[in-house]
Amino acid sequence: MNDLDELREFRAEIPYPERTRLTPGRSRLLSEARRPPRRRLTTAHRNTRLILLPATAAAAAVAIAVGLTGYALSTGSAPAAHPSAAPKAAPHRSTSVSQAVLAARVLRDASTAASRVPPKAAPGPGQWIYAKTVQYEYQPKGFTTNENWITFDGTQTAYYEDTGGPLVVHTSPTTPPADITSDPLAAFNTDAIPETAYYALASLPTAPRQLLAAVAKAAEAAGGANSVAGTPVAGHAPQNEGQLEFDYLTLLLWNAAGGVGAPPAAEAAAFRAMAAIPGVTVQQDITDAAGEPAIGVSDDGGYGQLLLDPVSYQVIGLLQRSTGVGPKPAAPSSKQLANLPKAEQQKIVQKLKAATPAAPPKGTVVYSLAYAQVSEVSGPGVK
Amino acid sequence: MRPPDPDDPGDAALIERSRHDPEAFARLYDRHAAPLHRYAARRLGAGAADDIVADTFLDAFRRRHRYDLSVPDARPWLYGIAANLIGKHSRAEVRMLRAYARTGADPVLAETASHTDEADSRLASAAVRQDLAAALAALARGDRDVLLMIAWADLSYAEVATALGIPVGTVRSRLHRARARIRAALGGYDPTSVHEESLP
Repeated sequence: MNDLDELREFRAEIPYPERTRLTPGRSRLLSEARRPPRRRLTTAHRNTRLILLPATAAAAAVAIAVGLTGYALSTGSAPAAHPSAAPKAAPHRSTSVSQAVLAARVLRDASTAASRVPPKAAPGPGQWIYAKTVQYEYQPKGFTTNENWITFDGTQTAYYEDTGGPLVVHTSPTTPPADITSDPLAAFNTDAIPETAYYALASLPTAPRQLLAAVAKAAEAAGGANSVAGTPVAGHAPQNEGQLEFDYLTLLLWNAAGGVGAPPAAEAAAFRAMAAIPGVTVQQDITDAAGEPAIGVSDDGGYGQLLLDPVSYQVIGLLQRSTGVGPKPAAPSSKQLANLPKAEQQKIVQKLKAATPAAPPKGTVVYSLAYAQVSEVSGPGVK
Repeated sequence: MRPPDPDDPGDAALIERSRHDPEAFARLYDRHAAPLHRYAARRLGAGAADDIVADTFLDAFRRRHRYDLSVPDARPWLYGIAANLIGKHSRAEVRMLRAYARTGADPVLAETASHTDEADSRLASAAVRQDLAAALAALARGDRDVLLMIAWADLSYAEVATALGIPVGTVRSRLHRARARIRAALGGYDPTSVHEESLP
């Protein structure tokens, strides 16, 4: 018997666990899976990321062209050379121009509104925050309302596992206190929670170009498009640097809004920077998942939108419209295909294709998420 | 609802699906929770393993967007997350191994309720096991992780490297060092000896 065999015998009496031992862990996983995505944008939101269709090509193509030009120019890496805000980046068509003007005005107003909010000190790490969210999914669920509690630093969360059931308070064992001082953006990339979003936004430069350069760098560090947008499936990821920056800023603002918001000056700067991203559009007079009036700001011609309150310009929701193009079927694993005749391999691919649902009609709201209420409270379970 | 997948999708496919259908992640749990639990229970006892498994999957779920979909088998990823959690109990692990080495009674086994026939199976090799326990207790944490992932979780060198985020060369050198110590401990086996750390 060699040493490894001896070692394999060591505590080999320990059995595989009884099913009942594994049930609580599975339930916790499922209740986490059923919670709305408070912490990061999921692919549900990103599912139908920009895919150019003939009907929308007119407006969106300009955005793409501008964005790609920006990308090519900005590889020089000097922040000052970032062309997102360059006025002569590309010719605009008249419809795009009016959209651009409108978007710029809305974001400027949002920036002004944010800058008028009196600043106040950041809460302590253990400050509990209550958030009520309303989520809409095209199918199969319709509307769902969720209530969650989270501490500012994200180390504790609380939620009701079932309606009328007991409040579950979960202390994250793996989250060391985020390093919010030396590199707040890295801390946000590690764990997207109200606290890291707050300090990450606070750490950004206020000048739009510098801010976008810092955001581009942070998005890159986070793994670029894959990390921000979820899956690297074709058509889901941001198509250019401007969209990557927009998505990352959306992530920051959304996560901050689930806490105490961003520091007012930082939020004002973020809106100003968004206005400098080419191809940003707005859609007015829409409603969020909670039924409240909203303005949608988008970087991809309106498919993915960040929703703002039309009066206060606070971040209130996210919205996703269908592009009419469905998700790519799951790819079979190489293990599945190994040693199979070609006909069998094709059968597997066909089955996976058949199991992939078709996309809803273009423009349909497929996903929408709104904060119905967010407030600082004295403890879990308190509203 | 989505129709059930006719073929068993790989881990990566499941994780990809869970990004827009979060509950699909439960299938990953059904697939890997039991062996992971046993692995953790062998290191820290069943009670601690309950929490480690639950927390590993919660953590994995929250990080699913960052999973590298080109890696079809999720085990290295899951064992890597578990290794971090197990590492937080490193003192308890060493304490229990030392207690076993000293007294011949393994606190980890004692905690496992379904373990009944310990006398028979363990008598013959009791002393060897005490030596093993002492040697395991004396290993550096990183060396112990590598050794036990290979011996107990059947991960390959490359998978251990992925799990722990270290180069394969480091896996090899850690394993070499750990095995040398284990062999020394076993080779130096003497029923009457006091159980001290046996160094190469």
